[in-house]
Amino acid sequence: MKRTALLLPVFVLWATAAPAVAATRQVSSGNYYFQDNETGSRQQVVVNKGDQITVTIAEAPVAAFLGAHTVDIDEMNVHSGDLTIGQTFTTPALTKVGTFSLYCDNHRNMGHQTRLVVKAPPVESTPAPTQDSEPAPAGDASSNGSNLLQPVPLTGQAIPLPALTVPTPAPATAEPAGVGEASPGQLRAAGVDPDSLEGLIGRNVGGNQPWTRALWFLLIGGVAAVGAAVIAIVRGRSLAAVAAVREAKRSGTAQSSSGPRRSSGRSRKSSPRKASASGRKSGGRRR
Amino acid sequence: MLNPFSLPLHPAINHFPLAMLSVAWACVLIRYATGNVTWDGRVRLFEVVGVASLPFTVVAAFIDTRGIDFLLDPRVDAPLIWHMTSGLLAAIVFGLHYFWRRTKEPAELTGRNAIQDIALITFGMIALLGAGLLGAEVVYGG
Repeated sequence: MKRTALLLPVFVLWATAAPAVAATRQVSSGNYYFQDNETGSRQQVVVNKGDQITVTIAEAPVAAFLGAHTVDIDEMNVHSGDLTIGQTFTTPALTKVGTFSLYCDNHRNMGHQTRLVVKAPPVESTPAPTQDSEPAPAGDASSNGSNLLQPVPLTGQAIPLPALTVPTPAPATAEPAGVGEASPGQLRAAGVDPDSLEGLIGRNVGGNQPWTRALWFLLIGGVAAVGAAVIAIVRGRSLAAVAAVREAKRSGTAQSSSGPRRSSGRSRKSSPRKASASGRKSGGRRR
Repeated sequence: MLNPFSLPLHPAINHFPLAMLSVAWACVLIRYATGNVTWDGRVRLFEVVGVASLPFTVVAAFIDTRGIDFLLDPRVDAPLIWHMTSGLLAAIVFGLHYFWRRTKEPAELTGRNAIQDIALITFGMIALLGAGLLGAEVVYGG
């Protein structure tokens, strides 16, 4: 009877301990980062063993010819292949403990990677049991995905326990592994790279605009170019007019004998037509 | 892994004509604004380098259209076609301007010739600007 009373909490705990539910960590991928949506960290993504990661492609690559974003973890043989904006990729349960590289295959050399830390289930230190101690409630035994049983009060008497095989529950797959589609809300939740132009000026000047905006920019640039050309022409003509006035003054003050020499001198450089025109002009002024 | 042989050729080459022809245009404006004919020599130098690099740029662009996957995406069809049209127009106009200007002595570039000179190269410059803006839409557009 006493043995039954002692074993009862064990069975109760075993029965009520919720099976480990693998958490699915949401991560955004953009240019060129992986960001843990929960912590906002781009330096690392920390998960527990058995968890999954769902990576949402929140941004298309800056330049499409650089290739699409991918999700890769070599040590776990996770390779998503090319993903487009709005797609998600959910990894299988991460069963290896350690620190790995979560990276994008096409942009790894551009820094598109982060540290993936897969932690072992936390092992709680068992306090020395006392007779008076109450069994701890098992409510959050698996709150972090682990399957820990709480300490059981013992009387100090050796009790041969029956062989109790606690099956290690396979991590429940909350999300099917593989490629999926992100909801618009997930895309909006994606963070903005603080080093990007959008992060600096606080608004998106890049995509989501029709290509015809280039025509508006061209209109602005074209008006500026034509304006500069007109200014150059007008200024050039005014300079020519000033030069002509000076020439006329010089011609008027000069002796009439100097006229033909200057005219013939210019004709060596200019075309015959212009030389004769110049001669006519200076001749007219002389008259 | 990024394969360097998969990178496009055209964006790497087009800087030469863009830079040289833009500076040539600026030199033409300065030449007329100041009346200093020594700028004609600079115009000729910049323009000859720009025009000489145009065939390479155009050929590289046509190679890219066959080798870069995303250029075959229907999303970029319209800006790509107009980018090509505008770029080819700019190449033709600058080529015409260069060879037309070779036939003129500095002293001849007055009056009507001056307007023709500035109008032709400014038209080429606008076409080049349009090609650049549309090319940016092809690469960076959403």
